[in-house]
Amino acid sequence: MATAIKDNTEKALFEIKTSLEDKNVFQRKINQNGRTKNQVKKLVNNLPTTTIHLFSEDEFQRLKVIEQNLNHNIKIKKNRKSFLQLLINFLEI
Amino acid sequence: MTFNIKEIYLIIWNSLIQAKNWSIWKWFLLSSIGAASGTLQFGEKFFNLSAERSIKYAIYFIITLYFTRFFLIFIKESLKYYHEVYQNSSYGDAIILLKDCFSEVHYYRKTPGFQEEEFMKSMMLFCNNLKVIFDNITKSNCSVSIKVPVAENRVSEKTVLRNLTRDKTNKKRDTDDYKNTKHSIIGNSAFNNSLNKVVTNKPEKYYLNNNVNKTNNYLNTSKACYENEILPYNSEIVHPITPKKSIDPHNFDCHGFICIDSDKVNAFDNKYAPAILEGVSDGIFDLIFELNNSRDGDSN
Repeated sequence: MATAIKDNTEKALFEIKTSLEDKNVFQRKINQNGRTKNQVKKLVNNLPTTTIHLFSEDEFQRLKVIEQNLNHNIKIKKNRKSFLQLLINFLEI
Repeated sequence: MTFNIKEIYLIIWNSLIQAKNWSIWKWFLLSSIGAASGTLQFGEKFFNLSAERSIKYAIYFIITLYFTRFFLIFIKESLKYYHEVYQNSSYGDAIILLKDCFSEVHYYRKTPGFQEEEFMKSMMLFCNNLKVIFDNITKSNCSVSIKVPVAENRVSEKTVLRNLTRDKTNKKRDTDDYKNTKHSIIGNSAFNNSLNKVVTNKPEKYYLNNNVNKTNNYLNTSKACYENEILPYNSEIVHPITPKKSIDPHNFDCHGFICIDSDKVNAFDNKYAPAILEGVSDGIFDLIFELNNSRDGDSN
């Protein structure tokens, strides 16, 4: 019988602080309960931030075209497996 | 799997030697049973055996004991050898393949006039080599992709990630449906969890799930692209593209995510797999940083 696993997904603990053309700056969310506006402001100002650097649509498309061209030149080595190797894989030993 | 005959002979020889290296009093005690039963006529009295036969059986018993010890030691030594060769060599191969990837990173960092084509070449090299590494380690079919955030008109926590590149073997996974789906950070447990760890400056920033299809409340925007919303993989590990050590203690930079999945349940360990990804993320971070620098340099 299939057993369900509990996911350890948390709610987003972050929110956007600033957003620019090429980056989004995230900051941790603060629980404002029991804190004055000044306390929250001070706390928020001292919090570290995380900057997510964005690719522009044009740049992304340009890189995808390069990838497509390069893809033709990449050769993947295919491993030919012997009967013994297949048997070992099947038995998972 | 290939058989190294020389090693097998060595294991047999060592097992033969070790089989006789038993405590001397045990050999003495057991071999004396035959002698005692012969001379004191125990065999004759209790089992109707002649003295000669009692000694013969005692010798057979000692030989059987020796070969039982030999057989068990041989199994033990063989298992040790198997572990050495097939477990350690996966990581040995990983070192060699990663060396190639990082030599590309170092080369581009040292070469003026960084080109986008060279950047993409090394990204693809990372994906293809990581696939070989994790296929070997997990003994399963893995897929490796690098996802980057792309600017959209509307900016929100729903920053959208797109596949910059994927290992060549699994390219077919990037269907039109997949490309047209908006893969947001908060719409995916893996990215959301990882980014939470970056924002809160946790020492380990990876997300690991070894049974995605049987996890409750597991969010994944790719599910919509597959029949019955069943993903074509069972395990996944995701690491944000961040530097190992941040220069600015008040701001952490992130350029996207490296995603590895496997068709096997419980494919990834929580020690070596995250460590490999952490090192690779550090290297890829440098490459993207270099790309951005060269772009900024061009625009000035």
